[in-house]
Amino acid sequence: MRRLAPIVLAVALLASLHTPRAHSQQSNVRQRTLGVFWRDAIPHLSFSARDLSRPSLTKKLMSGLPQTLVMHVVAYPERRREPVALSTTSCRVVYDLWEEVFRVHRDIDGLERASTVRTIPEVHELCLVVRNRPIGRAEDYAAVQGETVYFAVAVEQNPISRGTVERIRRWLSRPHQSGTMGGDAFFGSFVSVFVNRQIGTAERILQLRSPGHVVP
Amino acid sequence: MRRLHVLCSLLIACTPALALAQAAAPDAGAPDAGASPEPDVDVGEPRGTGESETPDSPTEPPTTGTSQARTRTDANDDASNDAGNDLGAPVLELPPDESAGDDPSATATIRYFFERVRVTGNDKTSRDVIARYVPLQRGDVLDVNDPSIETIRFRLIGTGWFSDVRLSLERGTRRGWVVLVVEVRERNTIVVQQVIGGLSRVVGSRAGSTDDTVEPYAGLGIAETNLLGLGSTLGVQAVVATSQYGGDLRYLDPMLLGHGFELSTRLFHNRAQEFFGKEDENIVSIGCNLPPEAIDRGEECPQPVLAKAAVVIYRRTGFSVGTGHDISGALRYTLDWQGELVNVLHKPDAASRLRGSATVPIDFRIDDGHSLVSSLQLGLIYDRRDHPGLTRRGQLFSFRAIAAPGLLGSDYDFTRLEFSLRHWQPLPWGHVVSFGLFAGSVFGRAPFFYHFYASDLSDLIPSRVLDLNLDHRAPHNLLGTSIGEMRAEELAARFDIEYALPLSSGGDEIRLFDAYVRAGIYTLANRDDVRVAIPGYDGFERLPVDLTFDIGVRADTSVGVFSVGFSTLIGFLPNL
Repeated sequence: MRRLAPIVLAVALLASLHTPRAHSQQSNVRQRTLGVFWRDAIPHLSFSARDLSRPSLTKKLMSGLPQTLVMHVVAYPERRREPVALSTTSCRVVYDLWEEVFRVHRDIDGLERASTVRTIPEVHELCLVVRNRPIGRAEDYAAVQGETVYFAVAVEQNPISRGTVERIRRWLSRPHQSGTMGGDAFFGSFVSVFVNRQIGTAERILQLRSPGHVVP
Repeated sequence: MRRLHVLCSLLIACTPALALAQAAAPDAGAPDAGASPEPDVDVGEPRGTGESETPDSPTEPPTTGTSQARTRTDANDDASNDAGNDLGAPVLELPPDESAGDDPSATATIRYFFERVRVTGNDKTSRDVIARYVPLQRGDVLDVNDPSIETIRFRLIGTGWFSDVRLSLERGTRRGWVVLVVEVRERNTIVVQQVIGGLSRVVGSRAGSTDDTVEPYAGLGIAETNLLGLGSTLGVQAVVATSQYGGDLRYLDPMLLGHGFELSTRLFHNRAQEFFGKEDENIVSIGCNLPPEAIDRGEECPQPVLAKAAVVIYRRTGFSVGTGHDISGALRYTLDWQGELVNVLHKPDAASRLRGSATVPIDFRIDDGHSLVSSLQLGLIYDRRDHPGLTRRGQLFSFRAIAAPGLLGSDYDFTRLEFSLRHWQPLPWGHVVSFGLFAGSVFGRAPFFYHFYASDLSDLIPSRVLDLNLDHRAPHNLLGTSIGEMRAEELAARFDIEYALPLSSGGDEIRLFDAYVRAGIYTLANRDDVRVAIPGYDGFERLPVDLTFDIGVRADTSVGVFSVGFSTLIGFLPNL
C-alpha cells in the first residue's frame, strides 16, 4: 500500500488548500443612503438608479429592439445571510421607430403596467427611479424586530439567462473540441478552451447597498 | 527520474474582462468617483425638469414634453417627510404612472418589414459572412419580440471573431420598413490553441541495449479562426519528439454547406515509432531489415532497432473531410470520412514477449510495407456544461463510432466504438464533484494506433498527442494485477470521481481558480483475455484493473483557460 501514499498526500494537500470563500464580496458593494420610510412595519424605499444611465444605455434604448432593466431590492439582516424580503421590478422598453415613442412594460412584484412615453428621461423615471416602494410584508420583519437590516439593490441591464450564457460558451469551445491534438479531453490532465470574456450574465450591473436601519 | 508535462491553452489577444467581471465587481457600472459629483441620494428629477437634461445621445428623439400628469397624494407627503430623515431633501412622490391606468397601446406588438442588413465595424470580416447569420429576407415581417433576433447577436459572439456585437434597427426607405444594423468590434482571431512540452520515457536509444531513456518532446497548435475575413478556420498543429513527429492541418467552414452544416477537412502526417512488449523481456528475432539499396546509401538502422527492441517505425499520412450539424442547442453530430496511407519503415520479422508466465508471439497489428485505412467516423455530442473549462454543473456525453470496412477500400476491417459521460454536480458548500465514465471496444483487425492505450486511460502517463504514443511505459499497476501486461488493447473502460475546490473567483485577471483532485479505476484488455485469463495470475490479480489519479489546478484567466495537472510528475516517482 506504500504506492498509494502519494494519493493520500495529494488529498491531504488539497484539503489544506480549502479556504472558505466568505461572502466578502458583499462588503465591497458601494454603500449609499437610500430613502427609507417605515409605515405599518413595512419599509418603503425611495431612490434612483440613474447611475446606470450612460450614453450606451441611451443608444440601446433607441435601438428599436427590446431592452430590459431589472431591479432587485433585497432586505438583509445585518448579521444573517438569508434575506427577509425581496422586491423585483422588470422593465421592458421598446422604441417604436416610426411612431417615435417608447413603449414601456413593467412588472412590479407581479403587478403589470404598460406605458407610452416620448423621452429618455421619462423612461428613466419609470424604470430607474423607485418611490415609496414597499419591500416585503410586515410579517417578513417580525422575526428581526429590533435588529438592523440593510437593503441591497442590483440593477441589471439586459440580463442574460444562464442557459444562454452556457450555450454561447459551448459554441466558443467547439473548434477546440473537434481537434485530435490532446484528444484526451476526457482523460488528460488538461483542458484547452478559450472563453470569450464578453459573455456575462448581463450587459451592465449596478450594485449598491444602504446603511443599516433598525427594524421598528 | 524527473519529468515535466505541461500543456496549456492561451489566447494571443487578451480580451479585457467585461460583462461577467462587471457582474462580480461590486460597483460595476457606477460612475467614476472622481468624475461624477452626483450626490448619493437621488430621488429623481421632478417631471418636466427631467427634460432639461443634456441628451445622452444626439440621436435622441425630440422630447415633446411629459405625457402624464403629476400625481401627489397625502400619503406621499407623509412619506416624503418621514423619508426626509434619510434623504435630507424630502421631495418624494409616487410616480404618476404607478397610480395611473394602463396604456393599451403600449402593449401592442411592434412589427416592421425587413429591408436589409447594414454591417458596421467590420474591417476584416466580410459583410456577407456576417449577413449569413441573419435569418431574414427582404420583405419578411420582423417582430421585435422574436427571440431569434437576439439569437443573431449570440451566434455572432459565439463565432469568436468579435469582442462585441450590437444590434439595432433604423428606419428603412419606406414607412414601416426597417434596416437591421449589426455593429461589430473585431478581435484578433489568431489563437494559440495548445502548447505542449515535457519529457517522456522512450526505449532503446543505445545500440545493444534495451534500457530506456528520458527524452523531451514539444508541441504547438495555432489557428486563424477567421481566415481572410471569410469566417473559416485554418489550424496547424505539430508535435516533435526525439524519434518521432506529427503534424496536422485543418480547415473548417462553419456555414459553407448552408442550413447550419459545416465543412471540415484535415490533412495529417506522422512519422512515429511504437514499442511493443515489455522493456526487458522481449525476444526479437531480426532487428533490422533495411533493403540493400538503403545499406548502399549508407543508411543505418535506427537505434531502437539496433537495440533489438520490438519497435515498429512507420509513416502515416491521411486526409479527412466531413460535416457537423447542431441537432439542438446541446446536441450535435459530426460525420467524417478519413483515408490514410500507412507505410511501415521498420518492423521486426518476428518477436515474442513474456506474457504472465507464458512466452507469446507479438502481434504487431500492422501490415508490412504500404497499407490503406479508409473509415467513416460518426460522432455524437450532448453538451450541457455551464462552462467548458471550469464546469460547475451539467453533463457532457460523447459517442464516437469508426467503421473501416473493406467496402471502403480499407486493408483493415474493423469497427471502433467508444462513449464517455461526465456529470458535474455543485455541492451546497460551493465545491463541485463530478463523475466520469468511459467505455470503448475495437472489433475486427484494427491497426495498433486505433486501439486503446494505457496512456489514454491513466493520468500518470503522458497522453497520446496527434495519435503519437510519446511514452512507452506500461500501466503503473498500483494494484499488482495483470494490467501490467497491457499497453494498446481492444477493450477499455474507466470510472473516475473528481472533486474541485473553487479557491477564488471574481478577479479581473484570474476570474476563476480551482484546485482539483481526481481518482479513478480503469481496465484495459484484449478480448481473448476476457475469455482466458493470462497465465501466471491468480485470484484478483487476473482482473486487469489499475488506479489512476491526478491533482492540479485550473484557472480561467484574461488570456484563456489553463489547466495544469501534476499526475505525470507523480508518475515518475521511483516507487510508483
